[in-house]
Amino acid sequence: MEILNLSNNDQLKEISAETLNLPALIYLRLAHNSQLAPSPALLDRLSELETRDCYVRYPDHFSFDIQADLAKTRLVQIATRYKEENAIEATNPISNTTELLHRFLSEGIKQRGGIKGILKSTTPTLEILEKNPNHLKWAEEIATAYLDGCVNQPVAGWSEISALASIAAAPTMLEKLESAKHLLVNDRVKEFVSRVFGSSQVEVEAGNALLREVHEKLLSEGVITKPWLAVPGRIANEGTVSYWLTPERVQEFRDQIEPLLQKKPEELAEFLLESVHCKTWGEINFPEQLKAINNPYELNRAKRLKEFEEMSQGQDREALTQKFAEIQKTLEDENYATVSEKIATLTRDTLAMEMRSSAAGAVTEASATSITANSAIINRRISL
Amino acid sequence: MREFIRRMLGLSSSQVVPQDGFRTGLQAWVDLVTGEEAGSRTEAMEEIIYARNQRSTSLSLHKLRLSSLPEEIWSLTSLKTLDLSYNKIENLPVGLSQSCCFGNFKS
Repeated sequence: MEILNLSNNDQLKEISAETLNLPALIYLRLAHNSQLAPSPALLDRLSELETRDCYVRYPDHFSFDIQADLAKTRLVQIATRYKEENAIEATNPISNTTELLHRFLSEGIKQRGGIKGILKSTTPTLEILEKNPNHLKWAEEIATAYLDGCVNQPVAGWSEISALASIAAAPTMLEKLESAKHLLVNDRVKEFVSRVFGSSQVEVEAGNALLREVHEKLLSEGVITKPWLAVPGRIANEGTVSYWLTPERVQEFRDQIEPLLQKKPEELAEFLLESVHCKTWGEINFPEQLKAINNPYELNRAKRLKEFEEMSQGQDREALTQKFAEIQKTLEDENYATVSEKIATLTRDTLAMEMRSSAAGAVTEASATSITANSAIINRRISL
Repeated sequence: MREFIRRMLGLSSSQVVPQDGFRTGLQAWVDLVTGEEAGSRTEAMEEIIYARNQRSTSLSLHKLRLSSLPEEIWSLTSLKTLDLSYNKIENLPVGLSQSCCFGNFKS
């Protein structure tokens, strides 16, 4: 037996360690087994399986560390606030982000260097989400894409959420664009690795390892001065890609991203606005302005769809459904175009304003330096 | 008679007809319950017999609301993937580790 999926068996209370004496097992899913008792014997067996490179997906209530439990509770509280503030039903779970964090804090801990280091890369992101629970809206979308595979998927997902969170936390547009380099380098890592590995299972391992290496390189070169959030440290199953991750390979990638890193803020902004991140960028940085566009859109959408329904009485149901979907798509595309344009304008305007005031500040500073220097010369002359 | 059983079970002439003990054991497991779960168990039994005859490497019994598993499942030595998710399983027999894994030791 290589893959055993026992997830979502909510009556399962006990699994004896002997039952899991499966030497060939490479993937064991125990997620959402809410009544399964974490007996010491079972935990030991699961730990042993992980040591043998078997992926274990633990039930959500399994506890490994009190700080990790606190981090998970903290996210649940943030989700509760988010739901309250947005009138979302309490029963509607923010399940993807919480599951991602649970997996990030429970899987392959030993292989990843222990819980302490992992927790360090959790706290800053949680603090940012705590300041504005509405960030969970986009975080939830990101998390969805990183729940399928082994532990390296949640690690990559948490890194991407953290990259976006650091953009949210940056106080100025210039700093947001500087923070966005993490996100854009992340994209380049994915492209670079998928070119080599295709859709291979080790793709994400390679991606996480390459991101870590290039991050260290950029810090040591002084290209970035502030470490990026949640860049993976030790990576589970890194052995599977270590033959590929040579210093030459890292340098090759480093050279490839040089043009990206050299971009001026206004170029970086345009690059970002053209990327797949445009909508999330808008949601992070201009939530109120986007709400002002989205509310009338929703009203208009509801109105036009109602009109269509009334007009289509008695028509063929299948043709109607197809037409309905087409109308929805057109409306969504129209809205996306309006939203993208608004995000672009807001980004450009804010950046231009910051750059003007920054230039004015530089001139003022230069003038002040000059005045001080002149005063010093005058003082020296007087004293002579 | 054997050919008739083969046709009933949808097997080709080269495939093995399940031994009586195997099928009887499964049927006994189905007969332990009544109502909705009996239907689910019958469905599971068919899947298990099919997997055994085809020497399948994977078997999915997910979303069948099973509360237990028949011991016969562990005699499927060719299985590499077993999906038991979304059920109501209360206990897993130890037999899991004693039979079905031995053909697949990892180096």
